[in-house]
Amino acid sequence: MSNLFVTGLSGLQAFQRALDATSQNIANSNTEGYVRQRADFSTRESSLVGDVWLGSGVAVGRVRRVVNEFLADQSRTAQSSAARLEVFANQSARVTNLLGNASGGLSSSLQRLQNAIEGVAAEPASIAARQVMLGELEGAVTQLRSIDGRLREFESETNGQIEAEVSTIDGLASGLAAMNREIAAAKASTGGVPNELMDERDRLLDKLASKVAVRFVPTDNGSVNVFVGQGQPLVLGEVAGRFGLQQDPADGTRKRVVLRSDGTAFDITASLTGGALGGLVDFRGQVLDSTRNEVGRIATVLAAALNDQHVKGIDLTGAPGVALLSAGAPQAIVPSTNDGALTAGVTLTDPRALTGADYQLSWSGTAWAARRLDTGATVPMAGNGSSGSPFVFDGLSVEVSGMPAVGDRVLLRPTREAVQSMAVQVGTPARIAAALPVRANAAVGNTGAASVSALEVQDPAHPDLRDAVSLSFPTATTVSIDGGPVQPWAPGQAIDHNGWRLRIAGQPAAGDAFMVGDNGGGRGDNRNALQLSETLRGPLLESGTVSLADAATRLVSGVGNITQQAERNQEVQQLVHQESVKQRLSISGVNLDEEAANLLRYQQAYQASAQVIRAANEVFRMLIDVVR
Amino acid sequence: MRISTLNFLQAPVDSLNKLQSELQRTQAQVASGTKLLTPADDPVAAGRIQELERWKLAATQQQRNGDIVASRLSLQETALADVTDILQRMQELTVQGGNGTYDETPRRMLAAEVRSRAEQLLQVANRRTPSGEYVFAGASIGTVPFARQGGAVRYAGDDLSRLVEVGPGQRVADGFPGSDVFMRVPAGNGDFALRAGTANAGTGIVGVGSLVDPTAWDDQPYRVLFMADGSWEARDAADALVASAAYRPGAAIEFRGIRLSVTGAPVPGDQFHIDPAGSEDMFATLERLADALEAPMGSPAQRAASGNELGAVLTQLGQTLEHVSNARSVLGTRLTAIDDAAASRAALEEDVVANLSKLRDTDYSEALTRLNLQLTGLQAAQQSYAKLARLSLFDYL
Repeated sequence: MSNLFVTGLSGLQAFQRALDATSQNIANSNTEGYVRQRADFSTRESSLVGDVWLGSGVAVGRVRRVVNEFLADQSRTAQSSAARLEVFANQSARVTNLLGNASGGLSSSLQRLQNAIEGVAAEPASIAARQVMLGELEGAVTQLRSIDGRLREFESETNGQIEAEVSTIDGLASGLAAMNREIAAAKASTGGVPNELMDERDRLLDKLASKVAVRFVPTDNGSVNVFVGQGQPLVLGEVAGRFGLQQDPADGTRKRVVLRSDGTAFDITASLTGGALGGLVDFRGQVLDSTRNEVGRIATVLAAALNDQHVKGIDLTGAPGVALLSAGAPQAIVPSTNDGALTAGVTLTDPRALTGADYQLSWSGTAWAARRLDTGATVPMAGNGSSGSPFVFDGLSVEVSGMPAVGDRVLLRPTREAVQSMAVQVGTPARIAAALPVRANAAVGNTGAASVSALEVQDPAHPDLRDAVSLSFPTATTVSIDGGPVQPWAPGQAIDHNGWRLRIAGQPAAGDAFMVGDNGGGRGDNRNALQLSETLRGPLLESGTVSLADAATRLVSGVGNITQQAERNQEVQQLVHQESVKQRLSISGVNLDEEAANLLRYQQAYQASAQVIRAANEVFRMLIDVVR
Repeated sequence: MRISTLNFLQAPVDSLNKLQSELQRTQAQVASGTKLLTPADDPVAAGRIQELERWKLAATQQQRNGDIVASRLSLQETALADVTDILQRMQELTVQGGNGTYDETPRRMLAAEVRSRAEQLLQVANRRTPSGEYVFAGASIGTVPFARQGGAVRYAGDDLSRLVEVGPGQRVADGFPGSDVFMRVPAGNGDFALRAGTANAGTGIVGVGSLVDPTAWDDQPYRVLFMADGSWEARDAADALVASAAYRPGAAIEFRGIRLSVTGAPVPGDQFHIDPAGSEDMFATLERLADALEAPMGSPAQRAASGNELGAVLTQLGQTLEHVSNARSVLGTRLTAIDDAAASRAALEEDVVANLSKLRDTDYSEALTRLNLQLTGLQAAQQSYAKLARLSLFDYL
């Protein structure tokens, strides 16, 4: 009889629990990260009454979270990738738009400069044409500087975002450590863990995964260990590693991500992957740095090539040409973390051989080795690094002195800072050197068929460059320079003298003469302007295969390509992530229809249990009545 | 598969977002008229567009340069037309001067005209552009190129001619330096020049002469000397005998690949010089003409000397006219080249514009069809969402 009461009561209690769980599920059906709960029923132990085993009702073991850890882990991994790609694609798109904006960008600027130089070549004496050329020089420099300036802004924004993400991650790590402690304590004291604590910790893990790719390892005491990068511990049980930023010893403008534990800081910037932080770090390294380097390379080569040619000419006043443009010099940085005492210097020797990459020299204890930072490839170097025999590679010349310690490094940034200090050096139109300092005339009385085919300046600094020199041909195959010794000569053969090179085509007659001399009156001379134009048009990059304008176009399509790839990958990754979330929710999410059905089911069972008690009561009363 | 309510309601919202962003993109393509909203949409096309834009920019400069060069070439062409007129008048005067009935007075009047025309020629040679640059000074556009110095005209300009880009990779010289036009006129018949000895006493007059065997001609000076026995002897610069024969008036005198003839009666000791062709400037030729016309005509020998000189000048004037006409035809060729460059540029421009449009512009029929499809899709998604979102078992409890 008492059994009936007990059984009925256990049903009431059990279904009340079940209704509790159901109502909790309904109430949290829109709570993010909530895992649905389910009451587990089991039959209670039977008891022996007489010789019959009778059941004694139902028991609720516990209210269980319905979760599949494997699916949860999968969705977090997918989230890390999706978050990384989203940040990367968004940031790259900004760079792409900057480079390829409506006004035509750098490529158009360079073409307009080319046009202006051709304009000066057409009207070398026209101040207006020269003014246009100065304007276009200024325009190209402004364009380069504004692109570089925007890229620098992107960089400082990116650095700011990295800082924000790092501090969020640090907060999440401390939160996880605290959660681990509570969970372990609860488990130790009660043997079970409040579901809400577990939900809260999962939420933290989800958030962490969207910031950076992490790996989770659960432990026996209920806490979870978290590792970042290549297995560096972020959270170990109740202890969180301090995630933070530290000044990059090689770059004053930049901070690196470090993980501090036991008072030591490990640089983990390079090993960070995934998540918003990974996306930012990748964007900075793969897009921003290389774009700035490439813009800097265009600026460096533009300035070097134009200057080289311009100084070979003379301006409207007859004075030698000066440098047209100035650009920032290559940088050699000796990190403060080096153990030895070093100084290093780098100079540009051949702008055409520049690669646009950064380099790192490292001391192995016996020798220096150079490595490209973008590809990681080792770069062969000539020379021994002394001032007499500097290291020469990829258009650079590097000197290293002092006492290096093993592992010491020198960072080379050949073009990164070239644009910022770029400026036009010629202020007045008359100072544009469109003419060459020398000219060659055939004597009017010449009877042969020889004529001047080319005269170029090879050494603009030669002291006697503009001296009058006569060339006489005693016979058709010999020449005497300025009354000097008669030497053999053939048509087309170059005659080098006083820093110029003259080529005479055709057959001279015996007694013919040519004069080379100062071109002071040649205001209508456009030969140097033509040379400038040819220089600018020419293949100045990649050892003479790519022109500046092509490089500017490549820059746009290159970054455009990266962005396009990232956007496509992001779309795919987004779908993967959505699918994994769907999978995870299909196990752990609340379905209201299901809960409604459960509600009815448990309610009916509760009512039935109540009926059991009532029946027990009636049976009992009937028994009393019989006795009375 | 079990579906969670949160996911059931959220997934369609994500799809709606996606549809809306696609719709917005299509709308932007229609509104802006360009299908490439950012270079990342099609990096290859973006690069190609930049190349084509550069071509268009370069074309505008080449057009401008072509106009500048054409106007300079026309200035030179006009000047050379004036030079041609003067030279033709000189030919007439030379022929008139050779008229045996003219005595010294009319010849002096002819000489006076020659001298005034020579001044005119100098002015043409020193002509300036509207902006004050000398047309025939080479690159020394600020220097007066031609000036008289002790009877002769000297050239103070240089030998440079400017090259200017008028088409892709096509450079055209914008004129001739004055030295080429006025100073370097081939002398004589182009191969050699004939000149009577200054002390000739007979009435021998030499003709034009011609080169019959270029391989035998060695470009050295020679002279034909008339001997007492009625023969002629050709001697070289070292006075060595080269050829000799009996003289008959008008008969060909041939040696070393050249042929000339002498008419009249040269006396023994008379000689004619054969000089390898150098060059003679136009001003010198006119000076020679004036001098010949002013020369005394008293004796037969003087008449013969005058006849010889006028003959040589006539040959030289012919040579000069040919020289100028060659220069004019070169100028004409260059002007044609500029026109051709402009024509091919115009043809290419159409192509470039069409290409640019294909790469960049929105295809409206395609874009509007897409817009309609996307709108239909979005509407359907919204309607189905509205229906789905209302489904709940709780409504039936």
